[in-house]
Amino acid sequence: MIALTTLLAPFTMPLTPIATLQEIPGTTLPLTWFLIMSLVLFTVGVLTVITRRNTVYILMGVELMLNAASLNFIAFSRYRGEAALLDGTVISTFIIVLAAAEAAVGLAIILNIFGLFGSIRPEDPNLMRE
Amino acid sequence: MADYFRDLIAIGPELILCGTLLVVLLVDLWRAGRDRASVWWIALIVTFVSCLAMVQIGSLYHQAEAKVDGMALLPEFLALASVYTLVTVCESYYRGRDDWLLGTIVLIGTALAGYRLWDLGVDVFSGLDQETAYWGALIEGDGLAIFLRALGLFTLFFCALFAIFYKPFLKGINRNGVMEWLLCLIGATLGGMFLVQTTNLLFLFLALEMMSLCSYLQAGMLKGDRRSAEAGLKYVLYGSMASAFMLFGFSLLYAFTGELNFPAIREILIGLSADGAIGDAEGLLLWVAILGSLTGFAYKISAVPFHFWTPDVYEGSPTPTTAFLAAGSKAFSFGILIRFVVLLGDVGYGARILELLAWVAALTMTYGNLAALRQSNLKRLFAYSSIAHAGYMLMGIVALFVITKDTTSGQLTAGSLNVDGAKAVLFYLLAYAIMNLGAFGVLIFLANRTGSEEIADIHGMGWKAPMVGGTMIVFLLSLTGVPPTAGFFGKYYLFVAAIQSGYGWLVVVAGLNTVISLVYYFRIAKALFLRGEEEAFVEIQGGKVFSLALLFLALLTIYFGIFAGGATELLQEVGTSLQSR
Amino acid sequence: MLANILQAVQGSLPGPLSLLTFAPLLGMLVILFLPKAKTEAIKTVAACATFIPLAISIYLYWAYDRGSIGMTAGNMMWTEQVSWIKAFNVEYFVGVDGLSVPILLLSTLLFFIAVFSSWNINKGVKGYFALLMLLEVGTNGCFVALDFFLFYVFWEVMLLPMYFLIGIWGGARREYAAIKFFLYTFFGGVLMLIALVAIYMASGSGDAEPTFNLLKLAEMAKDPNSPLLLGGLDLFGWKFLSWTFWFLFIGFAVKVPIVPLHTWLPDAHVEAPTPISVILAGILLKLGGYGMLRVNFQLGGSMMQEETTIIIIGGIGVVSILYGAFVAMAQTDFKKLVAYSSVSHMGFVLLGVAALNKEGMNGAAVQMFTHGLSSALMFLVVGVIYDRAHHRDMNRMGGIGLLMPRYTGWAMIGVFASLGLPGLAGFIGEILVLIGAFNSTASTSMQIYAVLAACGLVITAGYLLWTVQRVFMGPVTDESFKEFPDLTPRETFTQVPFAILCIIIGVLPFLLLNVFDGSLAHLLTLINPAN
Repeated sequence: MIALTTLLAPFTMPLTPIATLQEIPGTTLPLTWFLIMSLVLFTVGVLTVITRRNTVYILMGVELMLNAASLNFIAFSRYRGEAALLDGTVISTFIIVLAAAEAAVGLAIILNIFGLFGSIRPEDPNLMRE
Repeated sequence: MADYFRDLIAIGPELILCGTLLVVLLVDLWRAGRDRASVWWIALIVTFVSCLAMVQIGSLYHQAEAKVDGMALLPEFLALASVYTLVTVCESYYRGRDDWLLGTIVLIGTALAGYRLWDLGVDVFSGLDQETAYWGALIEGDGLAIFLRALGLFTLFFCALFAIFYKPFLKGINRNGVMEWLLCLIGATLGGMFLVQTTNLLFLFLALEMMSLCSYLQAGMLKGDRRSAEAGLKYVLYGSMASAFMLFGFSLLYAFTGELNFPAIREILIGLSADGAIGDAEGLLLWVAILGSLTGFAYKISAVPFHFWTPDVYEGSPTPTTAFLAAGSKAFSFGILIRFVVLLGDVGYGARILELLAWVAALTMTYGNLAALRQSNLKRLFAYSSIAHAGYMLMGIVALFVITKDTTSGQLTAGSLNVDGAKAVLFYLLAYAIMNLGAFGVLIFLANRTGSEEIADIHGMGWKAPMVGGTMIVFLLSLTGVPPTAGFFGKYYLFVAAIQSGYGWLVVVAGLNTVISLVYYFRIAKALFLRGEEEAFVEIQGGKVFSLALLFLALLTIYFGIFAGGATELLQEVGTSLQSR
Repeated sequence: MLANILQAVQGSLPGPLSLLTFAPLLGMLVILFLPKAKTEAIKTVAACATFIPLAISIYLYWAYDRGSIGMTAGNMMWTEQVSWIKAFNVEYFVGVDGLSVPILLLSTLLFFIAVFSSWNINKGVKGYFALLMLLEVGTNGCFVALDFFLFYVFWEVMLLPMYFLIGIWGGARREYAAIKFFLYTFFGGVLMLIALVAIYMASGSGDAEPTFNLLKLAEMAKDPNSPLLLGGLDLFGWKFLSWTFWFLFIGFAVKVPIVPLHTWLPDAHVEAPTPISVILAGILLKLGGYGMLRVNFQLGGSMMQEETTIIIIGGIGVVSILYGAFVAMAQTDFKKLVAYSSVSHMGFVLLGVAALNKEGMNGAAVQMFTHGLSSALMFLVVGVIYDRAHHRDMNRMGGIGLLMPRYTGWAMIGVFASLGLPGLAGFIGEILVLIGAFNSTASTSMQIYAVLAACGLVITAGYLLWTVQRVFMGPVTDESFKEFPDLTPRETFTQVPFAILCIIIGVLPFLLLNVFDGSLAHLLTLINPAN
């Protein structure tokens, strides 16, 4: 556990210099937990993208990465107090909409690929090589 | 309320483009022949009213500075809402094949948007409009934005023109002809035009995604074509990954500062470093945040190591898409990169990032040029050449700040802003857009006749189409950087900026790279004119409009290669306005 | 009243130098608008467009004030100065002094003759003459430009037409030769550009406006406290003054060409069509030497005062002389032999400059002029035989002297002029350079160089006489040669001016020297104030 906190030090450190940060009454979860969660999400997303040999999974991995960022925004706006409360919500809403749009475009292209190549493995379409 | 009008006028050109988008859809719908008169009439009225309202309000406010009340945002909402309703309706009713009309509408719309932009530009450059923040400081309508939006419209105009003539669109490989492609083009340009104005992280992300999503579709637009499909897939997979990295970087930047607006972020960072509050751990975080954000830009401008998508996407996409990616998408991305670096380059760990960027620039240009040497496909060759040019332009970004190294502590600090860096990049973008559009135009012209994009298949074409071949030579010279062409001045300005900021080594690397690039650019010239003149002398006829457009671009290339003074003075003002930050 | 009108008209007319530079451009535009089939009209336009500059340069030569010293502001003649790009002080600034006037004469004459020498080109006539005109714009522009930026632009303008003229109308290996020429020269050009930018930036340090004005820059370079000597950007720890000097030097040396950078020259010369070889050898090589005198040595005067620099430049000159001569001796291809002899002859230019005295300088300048004449004549000579025999192998020639007596007569003048026979043009330059090198105080090695260069002269005589023997003397080895007609009137017309000029200069060298002398003497004081 100690090793983990050392690893996460950069993500917990910025809390100290920012003086305006304040505890909101009623919250019980420390910010760090959100950050760990977001980092885990992001890592899982990256790993999915790297290891999965299926384009749909890759898109899912990207979604995870976007969600990690979204979580970051929400967590920080929440902990920044009333003034910034809306920021995170607005941002994450936009991100969700965008992620959906991206998925739609991605899936449309994948569908087309499937029709033409009969496969959705990312390495299968490789007509262009020098 | 009057502020709304002010804000609306600031994005007038974009609104006109939205309107154009609508008109294209409408005409398309009308020609579909089905009995959908009611939809058509409603849409027509909506469009007409909103356009009229916009123009009216615009001119009223512009001329008399009258404070007109009203539902100022209505036209915009109407316009956007109807676009997305109509896309779905239109899809199922399309029958038309004659794409001239649609193309012409786009061209006219672009010209109108350009006219609005001209008005805005006159205000900004004549110093009338000092307060250039709009929409609650979401966007910044300064000289930089005006210049790049103009460049975007220019690119849009020529890409649309090329698309009308692009054979695969006409032959019906694409079920919907050129219409869908034109819509995506306008969408991508709109995204890009917002991208270069924004000073807000969220808005930046949205605009970038708007541009990206449309470009993904543009790349995969030839539905029956396997290469196009592959290009679309590669673009969307890598692209969405890069934007996810960028968004994560933004979230960390937000985490660190609690702000979304660049100027506010800058202030907080300056305050924090003045307090000595940025220690090693915070520095690392900031570094990761900025690096993550830069990933997205690096991907769009195809800088090493985020270049890998470029060759496949450029080769597989329909050529007008490739032209847009090379000239438009890249210009927009460089525009926002300038803004980003100008605002964040000298705070926190900016100096370290810039030093890294200098290496990225050197690697990018060298890699692009060396890889281009062994290409046989013209589009793939231009893909690598566009990587190389990204490297040259990064040189100007790097030159934005003079980096000094503390000899004792090894600490890097970024000194004063050198606006000549921005000036150089912007001029280069202008030159690059002109010459690249021209080169891709020639590719389309030749591919329409030979049906191939291989160098081996264009042998002797220069003799068959002397004028088009001649314009290609001008573009190639400009891409290489030989005077008197626009590309030469671009390179010259970059060299000046880099030497000013003390990057002599980078200039030498760039210079040698230019020599390498000569080899592959002139392989094209060789194929056009040095081969096959024996059997040739059969002149290709036709494509008058197209040839004239190419000739115009070639003359423009030479014009900016001789009379670069005017553009330079304009960009000087842009640079000065950046200085105020 | 009339006088006023005349004055107004005169004010709006371009000066003689602009006219001289841009008349061919006008010709090019006219040619581009002529229909492709009208080849005679195209050729006539080309002849007119090249005649105007020739006429002007003859006038310049005649009217040039021999007492003028040149090389500084106010001593340039026929200057025109207009701001071109205000944002970074680029001017359209042209003018001539004693150094450029004779070389301009040579250049315009060569182009005029080249048009006639190209008369039987039948492939892509329109493109050929348009490119030839563009080439002349670049060349003449370089000789009149007094603004570094302008000079660079003209310098690079020459590349493209040359590439196509070799690449389209050249011999069997033309593609290779064309791109090789382009690459080498462009490489030099890029180094020059980098140095140009750096010098421009350095000239603006302090409260002075940065400038490209070559005359101002030369004045600055003389001042020991000027930023051009002290300031500027170091490159890889290499001092500003030193790296800019050598970058410029390489840029010009590629064109001269000096020995390690000469390999483009034999290829380009051999593959190019005859008129282009003539221009290449006659005038493009001179640009290298001219650029060194006009730009490189003026801006890097303090570098020239260092003995190392002199040893290197003189050494390169001598190596070029000897290497060029030895390689020429090994050639069986007539044209390649002439090409290598150019390398050898241009070595004298470097040696003469390195001597850093009046004789050496004048020798170098005269050598440039006379080599322009003799090499042009030699290439025309080769062209004539190639047109008839369709090969250039000297081992398969012989006895032409009897078969084509008129041809041989003019050819002999070329051969002996380039051999350096007293009484002909080549002698003057070479002897002045040798005298200069012997008397030079710039470096102790100069005397050794002079001895070696003199040996080079012997080798030159060797291979040229051997050539005469193989080609013109002896029995007729190839029966088909007997069918060959002697010179046609058009061929005679192209060769005679050079042959006559070779004799005139050889007998009356002061015709050149009294123009060169003043300007070169002044240049010498700029390079080396101790003189």
